[in-house]
This record gives sequence, C-alpha cells and structure tokens, in this order.
Amino acid sequence: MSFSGKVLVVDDEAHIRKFVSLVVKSLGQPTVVEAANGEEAVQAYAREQPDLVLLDVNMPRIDGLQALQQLRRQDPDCVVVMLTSLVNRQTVDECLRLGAAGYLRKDTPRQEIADELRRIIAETFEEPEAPQ
Amino acid sequence: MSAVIDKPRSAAALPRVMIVEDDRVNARILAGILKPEGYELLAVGSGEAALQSYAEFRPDLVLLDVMMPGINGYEACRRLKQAHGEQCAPIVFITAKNESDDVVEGLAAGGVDYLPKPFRPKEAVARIRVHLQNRLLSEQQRRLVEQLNQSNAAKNRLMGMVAHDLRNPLASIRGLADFLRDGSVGAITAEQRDLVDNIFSASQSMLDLINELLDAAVVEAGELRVEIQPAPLAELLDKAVALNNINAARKGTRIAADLAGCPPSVPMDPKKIRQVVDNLLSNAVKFSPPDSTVRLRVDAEPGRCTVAVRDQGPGVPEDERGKLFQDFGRTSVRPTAGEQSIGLGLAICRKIVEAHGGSIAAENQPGGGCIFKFSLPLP
Repeated sequence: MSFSGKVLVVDDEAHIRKFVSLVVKSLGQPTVVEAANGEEAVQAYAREQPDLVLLDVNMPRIDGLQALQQLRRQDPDCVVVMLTSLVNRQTVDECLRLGAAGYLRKDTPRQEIADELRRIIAETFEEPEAPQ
Repeated sequence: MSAVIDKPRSAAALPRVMIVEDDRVNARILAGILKPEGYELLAVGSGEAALQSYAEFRPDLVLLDVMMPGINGYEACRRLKQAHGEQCAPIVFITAKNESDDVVEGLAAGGVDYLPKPFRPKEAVARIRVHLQNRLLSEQQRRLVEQLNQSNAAKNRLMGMVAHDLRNPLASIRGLADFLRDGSVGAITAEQRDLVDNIFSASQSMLDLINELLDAAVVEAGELRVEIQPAPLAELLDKAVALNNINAARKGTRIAADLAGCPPSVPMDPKKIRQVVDNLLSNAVKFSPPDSTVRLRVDAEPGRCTVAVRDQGPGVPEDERGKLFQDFGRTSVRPTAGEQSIGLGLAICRKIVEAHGGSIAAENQPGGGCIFKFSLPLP
C-alpha cells in the first residue's frame, strides 16, 4: 500500500512532529502539514482540508480532546487518529467515543507506528463498498 | 531538612489510663497506686460507661474489671476491640486472685494481661508501664508505616512524572536516529552511521529503563489492570519475534519460533502479554552468546497454554533463581553485549502473568542455557 493523501500532524513538541511526519512519509508520497497546538490545528484543517489528522492528546491550552471535538464539529467526516504517550485507557475510550479513528503511541518503535497507521488507513480509506 | 514525625499524643501529653470498675473502693485503690506515675486517670463504673467514654477520653490503656453489673468485662473488651480495631488501647483485666479461668477467658477476649486482686502496687505499676510502653512503640510504628506509605506514593508519582517527561524526547531521539541510519533521508558515510547507531542504541536502552521504571510504578501503585479477552496468540508471537529479531540480528543472534502447537485463540490482555513476550525474548537475546539461537515454542494442553523461551546463555545460578522474579532482583549473570537492565522486567512479567491467573518460571537446561516459560489458563 502506498499512501498519497494529505496528513495534518499536530503536536506541541517539534521533535515529535518531525518524527511522526517522517513515519507518515515512509508510508508513500503523502503531503504532510504540521500544527503546534489545538488552535493551529483547527485553522490548518479548514485551510488544508487534510485526509487524516494525527492529533496529540496532551497539549497546553486546547488539548487533544477539545481539538478533536472542534474538528468533528467543523467536519463530521474528518478522520482523526490520536497520538498518546502513556496509554490512559479512559482518555483513549473518551477519544474513540468522540469519533477518533484510533490511537498511536508515539513512544513505540517506528515500524509499529507505521504498521498501525497502515491498518487504520486501510480500514478508513480502502474499505470496499458494502453491497447494497 | 529531616522529615518531621508528628509526635504521638501519648508522648507529648500524659498517658491516659481508664479504670473500669464497679467497686468504688477498688477503683480508688487503683487510682491511688497509679497517681504517682503521673497518668491522667478516668474511672467509670460499668462496661457500658467504658464503651461510651472511650472515644472522648482516648485512653492509652484500659484496666477492666471482669465481674460487673450489665455487660461483663469480657463482653466490654470484645466490643471495644470491635469498635476500635487494631488501634484499640491495650486492655488489662482486673481479676480475683487464683481465678485462672478468668485469666484465660480474658486473654481470649483480647486482653493483653491481668492484674490480680488484691493489688500489689509495685507489680501493678510495673505491668502497666510495660503495656503503655508497648502501646507507645506500636503507635509510633503505625505512624511511621503510614508516613512511609505516603512517601512511597509521592515517590511513585514523582517518578511517573519525570519518566513521562523524559520519554517523549527520548522516543523522538531514537526514532529520528533510526531514520538517519537507514539512509531513508539521504546517504551517510560508514563513520556517520556508526555515530548514529550509538545514538540509537543509547536512547533505546534509556527508553527501556524508563519504561521499566514506569511499569514498576504502575504495578506498585496497585494499578495493574488486565483486560482479558480471547485474542490470537500466534499472531502476537509472530510480531514479537519479528521485531526482536531485528535487535537480535545486531548481535548475530537469531530467534526461531515454533508456533505449531499454538491454540487459535487464548484469553489474555494482548498488550500486556506482548510485554511479557518482549521481555523474555529481549532477555534471552541479551544473555545469549553472539551467533546463537533463541527458541520460542508454544504448547497447549487441556486447560493451559505454555510459551517457552529457551536461550543458549550461561543459565541462572541455582542459588539466585529466587531473585529472578523479584523487584530489582538482578543476578550475577551479565548481558553479553553490555546491555542494561534495572532488574524490574521479570518482576513485572510475573505480576502480569499472575493477574491472568497464570504462572511463570525459569529452569536451567542440562545442556546449558535457560528456559523461561509462562502459562496462561485456557477455557
């Protein structure tokens, strides 16, 4: 699978954005845009209309959960995958309930992040149409 | 600054002794014997009155007559113990001389000692001193334990915070180094590659240490939760073997898996079991000589599925086997390529496996090497 969509990577830490962007780019020829906080994410989403958003949970001011809600309000079809470090089951469940497509642990090796992203992308974008 | 230990009340104030005795003459005699000791005294005339006054007076010792109108001394003792539990003041029965049945029943009801009537002042004072001293010491001990528990919880919280803040940057350092060294962002020279490899492995081992510490903090805080559901074990093992083989290959070690005996689905928390498998595999690789083979094998029998990881390392000395699954239980055996560990990994594995209702063990092989195996219950 080679992925060539547009991806918005949101994290308040520049090194994480860099790393996650490289992982995304390793999936094919995607366009990657970055945002450093929740507000920027909402603006960038409106401007760039990405196919996929990778959204950090833990950010100052507007955190990932709030940003997720704003994005889903702006575009109910938007595909958001949460970025977490420690897995806090409650937060993850809350994100999934609010419409996140999945979550990635940023501290796992890049192969695992790439595999999980591929799986989420395949599920979200390449699902064959169900017969009517 | 040293920790301030809040002083037990009885050390700062006078020890309080409650006398429960329906015979006023006896009560007065006892009070007279104890007065010179400087105790604060309260005399009540019945078991019911003792139960009522206890909470307000908060005695450090109760002198309790056996024969009283209303509830007798044994019953009063049982009720005091029930109401105040382990923190209840020691209870010394007042018994008539030579009534050894009273003594036995009193001790059975929870009393610590008895004072025979008529009282012999020196004996009474000596016994009461001893029990007050014990009370003081156990009170201090209880406070110390409480403080230690609080400090320990604070330490765990701090450790969690520190580890959490270190982890993201470390994960990025490792990840970015990984991109540099495989040439996917441009070619590098052999010398540059060597430097980047160093950055990668140093950040990798630091990340492992921090993860171990964090896991330990979670386990210690009693927050280890497993969510057990039927999951494909073979698939999980396949992934773990593939990933650990990448690290193993750097040492020239190989992991071979025999999954033929693996049941299609095993009730487990896949993420936690993956952690156990990763730990056993990385340990096996760590302690194996270069160019050896680590073998993973799964066997199922009715009610149980066992995953065994066999290495060709030096094995674990017989007398150190008990340490393996303990916190910080590092043995004298050292990794073969300078890898690091703080010795929490296997302790965490044991707790995870036990939370599944399974068991984990290690045994040396007659031909050399060690087998680590864990079993999970099957429905």
